Amino acid sequence: MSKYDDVQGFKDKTNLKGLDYKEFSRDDVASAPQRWSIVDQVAGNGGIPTSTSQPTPITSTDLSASAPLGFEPPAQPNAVITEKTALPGHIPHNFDRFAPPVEPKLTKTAQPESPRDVLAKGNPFNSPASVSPSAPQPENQRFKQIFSKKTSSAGEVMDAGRNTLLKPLLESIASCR
Amino acid sequence: MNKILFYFLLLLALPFILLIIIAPMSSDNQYIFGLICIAIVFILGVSKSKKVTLVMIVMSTLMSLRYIYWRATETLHFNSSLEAVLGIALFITELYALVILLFGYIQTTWSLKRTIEPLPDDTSLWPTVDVYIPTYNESMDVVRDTILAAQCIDYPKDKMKIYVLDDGKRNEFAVFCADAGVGYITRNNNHHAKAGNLNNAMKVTQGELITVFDCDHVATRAFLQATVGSFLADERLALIQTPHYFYSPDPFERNLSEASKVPNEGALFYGPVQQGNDNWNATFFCGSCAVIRRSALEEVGGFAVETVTEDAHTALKMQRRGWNTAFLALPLAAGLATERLGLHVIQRTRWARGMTQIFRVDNPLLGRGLTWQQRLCYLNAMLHFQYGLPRVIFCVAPLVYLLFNLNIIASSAGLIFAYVLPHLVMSIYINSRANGRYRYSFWGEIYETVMCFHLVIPTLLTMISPKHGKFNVTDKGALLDVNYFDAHIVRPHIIAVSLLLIGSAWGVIRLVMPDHYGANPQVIWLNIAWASFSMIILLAAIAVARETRQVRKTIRIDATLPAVLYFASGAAMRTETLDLSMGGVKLKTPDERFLNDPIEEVEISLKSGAVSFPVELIEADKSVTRLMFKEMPIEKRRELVRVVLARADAWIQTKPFPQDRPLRSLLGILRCIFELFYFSWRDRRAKKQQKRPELKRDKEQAL
Amino acid sequence: MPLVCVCSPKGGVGKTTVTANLAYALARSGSKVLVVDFDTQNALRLHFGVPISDNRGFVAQSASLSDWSQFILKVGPNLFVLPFGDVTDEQRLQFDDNLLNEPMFIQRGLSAVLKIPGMVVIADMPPGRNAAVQAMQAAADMRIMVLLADTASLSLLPNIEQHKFMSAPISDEVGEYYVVNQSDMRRTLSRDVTQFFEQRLQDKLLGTIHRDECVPEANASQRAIMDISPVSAAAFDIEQISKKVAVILGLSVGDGTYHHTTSIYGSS
Repeated sequence: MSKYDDVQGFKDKTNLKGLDYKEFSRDDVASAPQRWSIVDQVAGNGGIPTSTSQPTPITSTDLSASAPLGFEPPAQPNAVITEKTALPGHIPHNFDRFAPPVEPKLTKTAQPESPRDVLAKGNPFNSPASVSPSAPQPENQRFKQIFSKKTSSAGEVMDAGRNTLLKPLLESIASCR
Repeated sequence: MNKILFYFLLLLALPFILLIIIAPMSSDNQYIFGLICIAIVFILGVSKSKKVTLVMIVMSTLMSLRYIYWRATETLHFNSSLEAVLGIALFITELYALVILLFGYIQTTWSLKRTIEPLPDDTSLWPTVDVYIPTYNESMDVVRDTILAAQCIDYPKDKMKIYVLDDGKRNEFAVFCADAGVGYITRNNNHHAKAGNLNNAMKVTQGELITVFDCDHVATRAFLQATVGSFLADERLALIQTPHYFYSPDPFERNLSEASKVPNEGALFYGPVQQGNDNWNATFFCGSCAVIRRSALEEVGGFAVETVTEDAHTALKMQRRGWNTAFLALPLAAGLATERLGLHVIQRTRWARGMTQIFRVDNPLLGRGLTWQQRLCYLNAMLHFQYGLPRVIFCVAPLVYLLFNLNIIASSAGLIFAYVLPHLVMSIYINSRANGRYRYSFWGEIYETVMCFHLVIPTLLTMISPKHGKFNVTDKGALLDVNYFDAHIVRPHIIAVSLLLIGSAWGVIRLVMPDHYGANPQVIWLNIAWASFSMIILLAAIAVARETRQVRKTIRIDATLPAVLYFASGAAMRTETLDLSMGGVKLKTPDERFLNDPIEEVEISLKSGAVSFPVELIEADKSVTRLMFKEMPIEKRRELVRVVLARADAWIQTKPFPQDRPLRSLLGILRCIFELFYFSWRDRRAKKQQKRPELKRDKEQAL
Repeated sequence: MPLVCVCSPKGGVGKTTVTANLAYALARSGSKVLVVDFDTQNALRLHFGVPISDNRGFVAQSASLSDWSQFILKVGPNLFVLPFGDVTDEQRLQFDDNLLNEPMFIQRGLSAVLKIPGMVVIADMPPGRNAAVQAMQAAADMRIMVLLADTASLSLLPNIEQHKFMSAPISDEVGEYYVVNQSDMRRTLSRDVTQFFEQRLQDKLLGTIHRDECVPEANASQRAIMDISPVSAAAFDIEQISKKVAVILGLSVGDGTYHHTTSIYGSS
């Protein structure tokens, strides 16, 4: 006896071997696909939207504009905006939502400095006050960097609007204080 | 064709039947006649055929009718009005016993062995079910597992809703229900106790079917799939009742060593009796472990509130409206038996009062809607609960002659014996044959004798004034922490025994000195024999009051399930469980590893899903390991309930009890009486040598 | 007669351990068993007590020798192992080449053994897709896929089921079965994945093997688990699997010799 089959035991003891007894999966078995993305996919479902963005095919500029450590420069989204490529275009949306006072478009001059600023900060959650003030528009710059950094390192928020995941949203709001 | 033949033969036989019943005989002839009939029955007894049982039942009926006829016509002559009163009381009592006997024969002859009605393959056709768990003041420990077990029932999640109906409005329960994910319903008042509680829940729920579980009745996972199918098969089915199976010992099983070896008190009712009722569509609701159709309930205005046995009354009301009821004799849920004799008495008194109330308030013999068979079945049930006074009378009747020298049977002792002998022997023998796997001989007398003194006044009072008295909830789950003797409960029994002892002694004296005290020796012997039998039964009843300590809060269930022990080193060992409880598990020790390698978890391997529980070692040796479960979160506890209590075949017995043997049964009862005296003496000695129990044993037993 | 191949789409699932202990279990119950190692790791022999220094094997001369059985080592009265052996790069490439291009290469090399009635040949395959697995597609009578109770293995299941790992067998008689290894019921993920496998694979799942420290300990001792620790959960699981395999292959109890005491739990 490797595993005890109590349903079979029931059928045997009641002389109802032909009984069509349906076992209903327990919560944990049924929710396994809900818990683990891989299980969900193998089960034939679409896969759980994870907080990390699903990787997409690169564009011609992706490789050349890469930061040394592989960070996406916070200003990248603006390149995206102007070039209208497929990179998570939702970042600018969030961007708009989070930082109403910030101008949606950065000037070109700000871009090359941002990665270094970011690296210099090290931790995107550092207080905004420690941001290097060398950028021409410090206020906007600071907020932009923080928000962009946040969205790229702590996990991309997948779809803007109603499908925004709550946690990263709240974290983003919190970190701008 | 067969029917006509049958009635024709019956008609032909009628004069003979009458002759057997009526024909007066001399004492010797009656002896011979009686002995011949007994001999015939014994010889027939070799065959196990049901037809032979039927023949025997007919013979026993005739013999008992003969006895009653003789009693009625020959023996009711009295010398004084006192004797007349007592004599007639005794006669009525014997008449009562005869009616019960005959009803019993009818019931067991035609019983319906219902099986599970399967559900359709398409689960979208399955009806929606609300599971009600009413509670008032029971502790969370008890109700918690009931809730978790209900969640383990195999039924589509979107078609089953579980609700805890908390008349105690306790916060602890509300929190637990939220954590577990079940509904929680309260109301503003507590009118009409459980019935009112259930009615209130009906207002805020919508399931087509309603299942009621008492707060300590843990369901097995198969509960709904075994019962719901019947509602689809029969549109007019209002109720399906399943047995109240107890996984903890009742006071008899706990306090009488012999009782745990015989079928327990409920086996007869939740077997042949309800199956007999079912045959005539007269099954009644027993308050729990049943499924009811909502529309039927609504038709009768919800659960009945007029009596204290609202369950039986509700079923009666539904049957009056033409609804059918059913009984499925499979233990699909299990509960806790009453912990103490005192509680048992309270519970049974309530049942007796309730059934008497129904008799007065909504008499099943009267009123529309019932078939005559249903009326008789209800009459049988109600008459059964009137056993208090008759049982008392039977017990103490010999005293009338032994102590007071009153003659209440106008006949010679020899003739009485000649008539009584076949009547009693045959009824005992045939009842043993018909119901021997569900009730052993003389145990019915013990169960009734325990209750009889307590029932007399409540039943009489209720009969006279049915609205009297309030509902006492039976207390479940409380612990008994010392050995003690509940003398209060059995005081009337002790008095009765004492009187009978005195009476018998006095009778012996009269026998020994016949010149001083004129006495008919045969009469004295007869009365002494009767008194002795009464004393045996009374002493057995008294023995039940010797309450043994119940240190264990969780009940251990014998089960052999495959298990794996996980050790700190990462090794995993295969073994088997010996018993399980919600507190721990006992297993066969696989090898000596436990000596050096701590056991961290135990996995119990059910095919529907193996689960692993963190444990702590209590003790282990070469053969047996005992582990205690550590505190676990709700989801884990639910898995534990699934393994320990909710297995589909957890309570289904494969081996029926061995067939009853009346003499063997009597011997067992005598042993209980002997133990009563022996253990009492031993306990008294132990108290004198005050010993403190070891802490470890208490801890171990506290599982 | 039957040729069973034990494969896996990924490495590190414990395939070789499972193969070796399955062989032990079948041999104990009386069948004659030969285990053949097709993996350059040459690890199978270590489970049977062959010292590391002993690098004999059949592959080095497999091209020239038509009968590989002369390299078979005897482990017990009815248990035999054919190690891969040490090979040069050329020999290895030649072996792969033969596997891919010589039809019936395996069947010919093992023909002497495959002819023996009642002899079960179990082939331990290298992980993933390779020449040996490809050649075995047509040769094996029964396939056993070994997977771990984790998502890395689970994610490969669709490929196996769609026959992208091994092509579909030509004949319906060739059964495809699975074994889930190192299942730890104490860990949520492992339990979830195990139960998912059970539901998904149903009867194709021969069994799941508990994660049990006795297994690596037995490997380290170069012995069978059931010899080191007969009551270990993994030993029991493998025994159950071997019984199922025996039934599927239609094996009767060998020549009557019975080599182990009945487990205290009786037979299932």
